[in-house]
Amino acid sequence: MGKAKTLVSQRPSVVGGFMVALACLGAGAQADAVATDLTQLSIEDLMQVKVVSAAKVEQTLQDTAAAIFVISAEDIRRSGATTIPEVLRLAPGVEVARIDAGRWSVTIRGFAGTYSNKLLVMVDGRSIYTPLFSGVNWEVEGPPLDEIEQIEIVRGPGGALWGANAVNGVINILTKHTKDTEGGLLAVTAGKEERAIASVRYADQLGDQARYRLYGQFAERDGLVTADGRDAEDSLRIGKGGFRLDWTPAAMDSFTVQGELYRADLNQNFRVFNLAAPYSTHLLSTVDAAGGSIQARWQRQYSAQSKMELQAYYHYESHKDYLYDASLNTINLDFQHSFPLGDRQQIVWGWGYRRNQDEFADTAVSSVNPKSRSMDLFSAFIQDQFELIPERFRLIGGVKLEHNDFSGWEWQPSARALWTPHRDHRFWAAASRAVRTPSRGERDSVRVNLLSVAPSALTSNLPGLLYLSGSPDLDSEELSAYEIGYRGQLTERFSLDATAFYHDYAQLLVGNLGAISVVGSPWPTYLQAPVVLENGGSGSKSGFELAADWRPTERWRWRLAYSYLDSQLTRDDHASAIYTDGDRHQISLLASWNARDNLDVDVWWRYVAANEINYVSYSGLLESSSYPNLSVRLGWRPRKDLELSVVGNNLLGDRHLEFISEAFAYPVEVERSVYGQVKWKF
Amino acid sequence: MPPPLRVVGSARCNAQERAPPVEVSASRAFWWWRAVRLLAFWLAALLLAGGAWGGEFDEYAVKAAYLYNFAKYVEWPSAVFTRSDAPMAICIVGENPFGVALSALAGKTVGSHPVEVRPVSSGTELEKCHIVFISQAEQGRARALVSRLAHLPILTVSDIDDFARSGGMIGLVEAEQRIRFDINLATARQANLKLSSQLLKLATMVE
Repeated sequence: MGKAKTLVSQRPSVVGGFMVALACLGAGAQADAVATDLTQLSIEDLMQVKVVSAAKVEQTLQDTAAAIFVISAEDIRRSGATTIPEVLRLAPGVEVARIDAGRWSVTIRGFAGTYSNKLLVMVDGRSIYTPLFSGVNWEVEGPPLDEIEQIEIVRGPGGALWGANAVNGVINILTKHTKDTEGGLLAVTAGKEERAIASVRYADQLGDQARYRLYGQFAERDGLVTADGRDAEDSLRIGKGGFRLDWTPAAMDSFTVQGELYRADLNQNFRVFNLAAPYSTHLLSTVDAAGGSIQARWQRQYSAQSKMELQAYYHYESHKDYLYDASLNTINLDFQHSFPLGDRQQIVWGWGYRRNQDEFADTAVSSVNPKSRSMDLFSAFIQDQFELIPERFRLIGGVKLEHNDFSGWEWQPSARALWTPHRDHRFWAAASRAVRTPSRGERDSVRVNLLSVAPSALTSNLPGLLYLSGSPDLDSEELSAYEIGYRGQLTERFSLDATAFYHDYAQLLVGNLGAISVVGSPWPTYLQAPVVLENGGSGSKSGFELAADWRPTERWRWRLAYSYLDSQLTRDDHASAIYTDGDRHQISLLASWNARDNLDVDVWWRYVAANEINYVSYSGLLESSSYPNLSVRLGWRPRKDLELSVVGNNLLGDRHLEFISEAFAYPVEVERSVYGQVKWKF
Repeated sequence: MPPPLRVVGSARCNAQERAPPVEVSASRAFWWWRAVRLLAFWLAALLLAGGAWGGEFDEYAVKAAYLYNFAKYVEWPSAVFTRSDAPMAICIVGENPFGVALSALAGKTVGSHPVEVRPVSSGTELEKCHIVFISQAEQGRARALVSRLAHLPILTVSDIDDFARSGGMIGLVEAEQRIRFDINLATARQANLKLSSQLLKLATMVE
């Protein structure tokens, strides 16, 4: 059973969703549910009851007809990472780049950016994808690393289960069940870049049937450096605190209530454009971000294969920086039920409702109208898993239907097949459709001043201003995806996972240069032109991803992740600009050595090939160069309750550039860093 | 399909049948009300009886139910129970594979004896148990344990392969997704335990 725990969780699970069976099976056996009182059955009846064994549950990950990768708590501990985006670098196909001290570009299968809008990210089934600008505020969202049980990553569309915005992938971060944490934990990290991170946690029993956990974390990170080696001064401070309560009043029912609050002071650099010389300057802006959430979940396990789940949450966030100033309230309700239909079918169905209520204020460069809006999202889905040939060939079909206030009805179907010619070899194929719905900042009456140009003959010797304009006609971006994969346990010590995909995009957002007008007579006079968003782009992305895991001896483990992406995006003839990104390779090789029972050594080498990204052609091609990277971690446990570790990151150079943000780019570089950590259990 | 699962659902159905018939009216409110009620009914039925569709059970939930049945169908020598309300002790040796499934046994009685489940280590206090379940984790020590208990009035049960053939009394066996059991009658007699004809009829007898 121990092993099953790490693969399949009883919380709303990404792996789970895909694996229909999972919603049932996995969670089933794991929750140790006793459906009905079996003791009332006679022996004759007991002999007829079909059982599902733990061994079968362990296979659910293997049996998923999708590109899935799971990062465990142990992987996180040994990665030497101090943030969630850094941890995600372990997975193939996930592109992670640091923009500045706090901000990250995290995406799957392309479309990298500060606002990577085609990736859905959840914490215990709660979406942290913010509809304010379509993307994830990685600098503040997510639980402290010590709270995480595992991170499930699905590459490719998940719209048929998770709905809009699960276009290129889904990441679900699952926190530890309170039964897996005992007593207190104090962790202190100090170093050159990770100046000070202090975490504390305490877990205990609450009566016979309930357990709770409290945690808090404070982190202060040093700023990065500019290209000429000066301090970029983008240091940050974040405080977080939260709790989780699990209550199991009866064998078939379990309740979870959890909540988190955060507050952050971030310093961020922006390029600022003016209509007088100098036309472009640089601004260090202080960002004030705060937020919190509370969520409750009820799970009822009828039998090993039949399960019901009801979840509700409330989420609040406010964010104020140079570019935007907004707050958001979200309430969300989800219901899910899974059950077997006959001997060969497993059905999962559910519905959801979400209300987002936001409020924007004007900033120096942006203005949104109406200032406040409430939006409703209704959704329903059904999925059927059909065992065509038991334990050999399985078909999975599903569809999600949604209604949102901007693009109306959206339907996202998916068809998958899994073929298991042999216990150790699995082949899968999938065809699916997914959409990304427009956000407030794209669809409403929005104006964002993008950049200014100095007077020249081209502009009749007047300064020029380009601004981004939202468009009420905007529709969803669409993806049709085709994937095939192989998963194999080639020997007892070597496993391989390979996926190839072809993503066909339609109605991608492009910018179209609108009519030029003269503003501000008599003085100052300048030219301005809107860049109007339109659904004028299309194209494809294709590539493959590889993950290999080799344990030559008990003490050694080698893991390889490689991904290749080829991008072919084009725009309609009349459109002026489109987001494009180039071919991309990235490779990661991690060697883990248990030198002694209480001494871990991990060496992690990565190589990320150069990437050319073009957001708006007027601002030119933003190119980051290739970089190799090396990090090393030494962990020593002199006692059972004490761990000391030293980590070196970015060891191969003094500094390197990882990414240039599309949002008022001011490139800063990541420095070499060393830090030490002490973890004490009490 | 195990019969009791239907019970909850059908009780609900009856409740609905007993509801007074509503007069036919063309008003829209009526139809709304009726739709809402129907939906509420199905939701409630689903919540309570969702298990009616559930075909499979956790293997250890079923094994726990077997343990309870064994307690009912085995007769211990009268001297074993000091009082009429003395507990019937079911002991789990080794890592507990049942999880919360054993909680289904809490509060149950066998005759006048309340069932008590005890996790025990293989060394101690086994003599005070009535049923000893040896978990698969103890495979290496099972034979030694069984021979130590051989002449005591203790029913030994396990899901270790070939348990009944290698000196145990009842072995739980999985076949075709169902749990069956083997009985080694000779070892049970040696321990002075009487197994009911009901049990013997359903078991696979082994030497």
